[in-house]
Amino acid sequence: MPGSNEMSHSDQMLGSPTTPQGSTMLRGNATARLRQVFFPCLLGTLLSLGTLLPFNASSQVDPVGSERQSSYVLMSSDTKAMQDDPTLNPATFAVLDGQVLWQEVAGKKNQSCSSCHGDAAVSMKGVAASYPKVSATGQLLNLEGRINQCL
Amino acid sequence: MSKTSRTIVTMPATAKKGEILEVRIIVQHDMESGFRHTETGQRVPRDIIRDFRCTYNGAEVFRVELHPAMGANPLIVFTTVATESGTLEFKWSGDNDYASSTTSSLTVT
Repeated sequence: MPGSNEMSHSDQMLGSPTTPQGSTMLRGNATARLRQVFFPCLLGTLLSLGTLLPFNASSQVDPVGSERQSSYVLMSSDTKAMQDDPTLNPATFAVLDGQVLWQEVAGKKNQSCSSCHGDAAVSMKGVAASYPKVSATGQLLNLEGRINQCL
Repeated sequence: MSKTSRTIVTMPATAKKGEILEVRIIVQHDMESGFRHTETGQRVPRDIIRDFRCTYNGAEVFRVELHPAMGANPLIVFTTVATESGTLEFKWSGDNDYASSTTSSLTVT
């Protein structure tokens, strides 16, 4: 079953390495996300017991802050080169599949993702790293669940 | 729903005569080994790419026989010598009448 073929004629990479669109990869520390939930609860109980201490909400909710880094910076140069090369990385196909799915119509509203969100590279930049998260109703929401809410 | 099977070929577009070219090919294919079972105990039948050939202006320069031990999305990296300008044609064939082909042109100075 021959499908669409793509070729790169030069020995350069297929464009610069970018965050895969529509990916469900988690960047950053998963336990840091849990801390974001538990820290406010702990602080709430402490404050109710003691005096009212003014605190910077953002620094307590996000204790890592600007020190957060991807483990990419800890890799050796060989490993980085291997990950950066899209011609060797089979995850390139997942990225290309995602680009196709972005345009496909699905769900009871018969819409595609692109009909509301336009270009994924612009509107969805960095979105996957923020999931799973606690929704407004207090439930844990992952990326698949969020897509189901859209549909 | 049939699955898409893309192929990505990476090789230089130009080369000097006699130069060694590195060709990298990766093809999107699940390569079902035939040894897995579903949750109900049914064996998932084998569905793999069996054969890969590369011809350089019609002459075969590289051939691979693939077996169930090969994992999904097989990556093949091989080298060939640039002798003349022309096209390299890559063909895959496998179980369930799987066939895929792509070409890449090369200019040899």
